[in-house]
Amino acid sequence: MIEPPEFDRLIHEPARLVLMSNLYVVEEADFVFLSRQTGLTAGNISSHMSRLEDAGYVTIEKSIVGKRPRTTYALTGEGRTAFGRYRNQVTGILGEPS
Amino acid sequence: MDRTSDLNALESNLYRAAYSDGIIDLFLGFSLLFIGAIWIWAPDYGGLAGVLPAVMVPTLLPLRKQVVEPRGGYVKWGETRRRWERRNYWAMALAGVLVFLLGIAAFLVTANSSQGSDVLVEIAPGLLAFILAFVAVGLGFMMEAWRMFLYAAALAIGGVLTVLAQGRPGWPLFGAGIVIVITGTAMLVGYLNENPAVSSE
Repeated sequence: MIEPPEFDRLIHEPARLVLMSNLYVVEEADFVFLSRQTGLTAGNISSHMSRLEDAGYVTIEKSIVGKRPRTTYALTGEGRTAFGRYRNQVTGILGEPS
Repeated sequence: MDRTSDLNALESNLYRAAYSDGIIDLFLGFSLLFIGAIWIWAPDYGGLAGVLPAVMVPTLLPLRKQVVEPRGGYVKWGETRRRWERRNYWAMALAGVLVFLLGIAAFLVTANSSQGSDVLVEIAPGLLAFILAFVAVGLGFMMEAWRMFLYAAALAIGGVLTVLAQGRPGWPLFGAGIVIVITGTAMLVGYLNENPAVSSE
């Protein structure tokens, strides 16, 4: 019998998985960029990012750029490690047979 | 299975999407149109050909930022991508210098040869178009934008036709400029329609 893997539930949720995937491949991105690329609403992004921030996976920085508010998100080292671990787990299970 | 390929593809898609606004195309297209038009209709004012690109180069990045960031958002690419961009900038600059030196060498060979170099004299009208086609190919690799290869093809074909007809060197630039301006305008209109500015977060 194969033991079910212990996925990181925080990353396993589809919207957060998409957000973390996008942040994993860049250094940082703002709310507008993530909203455009993921199709998630403002409320969704905000609530998911708050949870990821509480877990220490992302940093959230609010600033004003040219009179416009900008919220910038970036993965922390801990977030990158957690995402890498999650990715290895998933590809370990779903990866194509060699 | 390559475990990074899916994420590489995601990063590549994001990068391509970040350059889908058409502003760089419009910059290239109008520059070629302007240089080509001067060369065709006002060759005595050839010095003016550099004015538009010279004005547009410093305004391009701030303009793009003004248009793209409220609509497409801000992103800082990862270190691997930025290193790749820097390497390509240097490669483009180096290639530009080499092409320029080759052009000077070709000119000197032609000018100093008693019999003249027939081949160089014959391809001279299309030479600039060929060089710019080469630049477009470089931009295509840099931006991962395959349409740049079409622009390069338009320039190269225009260059060949100009050589065959022994026409003025401005024509291939003017023709390619029209193609690129039309493409860039269509891209920008599509981008603005699909991505309205986000006023609040």
